[in-house]
Amino acid sequence: MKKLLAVLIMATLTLTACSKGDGVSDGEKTLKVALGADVASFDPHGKNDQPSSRVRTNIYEGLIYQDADLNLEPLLATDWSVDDTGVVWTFNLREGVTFHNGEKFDAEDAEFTFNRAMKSAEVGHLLETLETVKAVDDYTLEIVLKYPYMPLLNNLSHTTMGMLDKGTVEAQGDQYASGSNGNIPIGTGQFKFDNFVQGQGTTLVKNENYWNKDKIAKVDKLEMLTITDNSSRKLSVEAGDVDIAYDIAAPDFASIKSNADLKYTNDYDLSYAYAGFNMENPIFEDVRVREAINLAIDVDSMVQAPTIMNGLGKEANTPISNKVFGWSENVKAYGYDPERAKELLKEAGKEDLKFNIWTNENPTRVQAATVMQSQLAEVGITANVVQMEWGAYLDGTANGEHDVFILGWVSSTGDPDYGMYPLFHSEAKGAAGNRTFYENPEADALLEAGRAAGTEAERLEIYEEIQQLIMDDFVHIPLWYTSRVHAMNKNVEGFEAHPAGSMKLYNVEVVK
Amino acid sequence: MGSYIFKRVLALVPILIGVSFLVFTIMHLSPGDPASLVLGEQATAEQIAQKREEMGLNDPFLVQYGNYVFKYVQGDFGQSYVSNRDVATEILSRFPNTVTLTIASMIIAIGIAIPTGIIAATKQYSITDNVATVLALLGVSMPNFWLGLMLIIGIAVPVQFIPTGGMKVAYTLFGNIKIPTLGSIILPAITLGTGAAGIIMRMTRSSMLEVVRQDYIRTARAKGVSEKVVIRKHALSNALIPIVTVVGLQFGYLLGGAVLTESVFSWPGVGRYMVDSIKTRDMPVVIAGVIFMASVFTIVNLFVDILYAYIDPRIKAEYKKG
Repeated sequence: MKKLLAVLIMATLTLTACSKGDGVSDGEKTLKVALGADVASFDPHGKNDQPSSRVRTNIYEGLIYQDADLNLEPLLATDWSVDDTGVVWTFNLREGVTFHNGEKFDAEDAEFTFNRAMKSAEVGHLLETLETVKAVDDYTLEIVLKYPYMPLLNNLSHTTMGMLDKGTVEAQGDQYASGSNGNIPIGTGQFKFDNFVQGQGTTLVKNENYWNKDKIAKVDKLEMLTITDNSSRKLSVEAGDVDIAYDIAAPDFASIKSNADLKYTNDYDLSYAYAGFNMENPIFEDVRVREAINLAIDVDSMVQAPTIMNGLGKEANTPISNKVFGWSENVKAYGYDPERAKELLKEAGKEDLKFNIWTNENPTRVQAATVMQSQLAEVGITANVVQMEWGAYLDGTANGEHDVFILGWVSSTGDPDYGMYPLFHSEAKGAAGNRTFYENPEADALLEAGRAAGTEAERLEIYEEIQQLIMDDFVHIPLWYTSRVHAMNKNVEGFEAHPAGSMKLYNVEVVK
Repeated sequence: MGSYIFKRVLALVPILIGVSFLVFTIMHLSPGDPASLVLGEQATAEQIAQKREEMGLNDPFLVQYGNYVFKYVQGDFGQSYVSNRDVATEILSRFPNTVTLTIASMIIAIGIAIPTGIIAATKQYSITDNVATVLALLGVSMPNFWLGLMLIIGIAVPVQFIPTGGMKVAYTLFGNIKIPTLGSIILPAITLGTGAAGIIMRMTRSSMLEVVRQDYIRTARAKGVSEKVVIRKHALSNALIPIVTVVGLQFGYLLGGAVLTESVFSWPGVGRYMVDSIKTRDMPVVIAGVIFMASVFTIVNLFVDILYAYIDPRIKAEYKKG
């Protein structure tokens, strides 16, 4: 017993002694950022999820960059042009760019990257309009499309479209960047991969040889730490353990706002939350019924409710995020009018309406479903909230087994085609996104015209028309646009939130 | 003794086959298509079909199970659906962290529980006893995540030396075993330890109460043996068996990963990994993880049984006879 005690005391002393040495810096500048999840894959074609993108965007660079205002800027391509047919695109690539392993970046790498991405189940859909990709010479790339498709540049600016080093990826095969056998990610970005520890996070280091000397990283080391629990992540920035904490949960916003040592960004992202009708379900056949349900629901009260959005968002007026190109403020939200809802139900002869509202286990959605249920009860509608496990939910809504369901859609390229074609085109019914099973030849024609139209003005006009048409057809119960909060130490400078959620952090530093 | 251990280890095989079949069946029967789960709500039908083929989900159930078992026997635990990383490597890289946390919390639990339990038993119905019993009840009933958050707010935020979460490594042994700093392990260890302490303390108290009423204790006292020796040598050593059982069970249980504590403190352990994987229906991870946990639990129990022999000479004598 005494021996055991002695060992324990010794162990404790050693541990204490060691912890004192912790946190000593040798003059190098470090930036610590807390994220909600681990990187799932360092291979941009391996996984298309936000936590991975948030780290990868600092390692990899695409041909085009979409800035925080969603403008498209040249990055590894210097300029581009499209021929009169709208299908042949030519990209001039930047010379003098090297990968983290010292290899030169050229058109062959770009050709290889796109051909590889097209075969990926995760990101292939971004390039589904591509017919061929060809390196014309060392620094010229030609992309031929199957049909004219204007959002191409947006798709190419997506964070999963970072350029890969052909030699490295070919050598590592499908184990590229897997972490085993020294397979680390190689990009051209401002930060190089240093190490990754499961459940703890990723460490990146400054790329001293970055091609643009004006945009070299301001810190030597970037630690992107995984803190899954929302409250713990908030507390970590309050305690000064990290410099920036991404995604502060709505209920925690007040304590961030009132903390004088912290500042925050609060901007809309590219998401749109909605409840969708099953348009093939006879209950919702009559447009007056769909309108009545919409008028019976007070969306703004849900946006303000502390248990739902806590004010971090606003009522959606169209079926697309207000940050996306082409979002129209001319389209009006349905508003809240329970009296008119009752009249409409009477006219339609559906005064004893009963249906299920499906939701997955997402607490915000469950709360929203419950509020909808009680608001619908006030106009005499009996709604039943059905909570489902995520896998069953995806399957059930894809197969059209639902009445009403709650989901969201992220237009991650910032283009309305990405946001609306899958949700409303009859070709995308079911799993591909159109879980309302909406079918309207007029909408189909407009959605097709929207992706092919040549000029921005034409596209704006077409997409406004589509938004109005969808609203007039009462396909959704539009819920809200979400505002995201990122909290940081007040000495952090240079941070700019990106609506797509993936921030390049080369310009960020802590100024003492 | 040797043949006993051998028999127990052999008994692991049917347990593992049963566990793996059960988990595999449950995962297979639960609703939702793993391929669409992996790809998310924005995937097209073709992508899902392609992924299903890649994941081997089009094969019949028994063929899928057979493939798993065949690979397992060869030591190949497959790759995660979500990250494509090697499952065995992932679990083994996290397991030492869970072990470290378990040991630390058991030190705290035992350190608090056994002395308190003894005092409570020897001074039954005194104020000390009542306070200790109430505290034990609190320890058992308090939700881990809540205590964890309270400790973070109350201690980690104001105290510079203690981080709000994460595992800070002091030094690494044998390339894989990371010894955390005291600052980073103390709060998760207290959070986990208090729950276990409550259970162990109650068991110590009741087991001691039973023993101190035995005739031989009265005899020892009558012989004039000092109270200290009576309690330590005569009472405690006889009360130890049920206590060791509870400690062993708690140890095995905590090794299975303390899900909530690991999440609140961002501790890179097995429990959190398992729960994340269940949510994403990451079958290879869930199956390998459950089999791993079942083995660990069984092995810990085996150790506890062996330990009995050393604590209780009567058990050892049994084996010698047999």
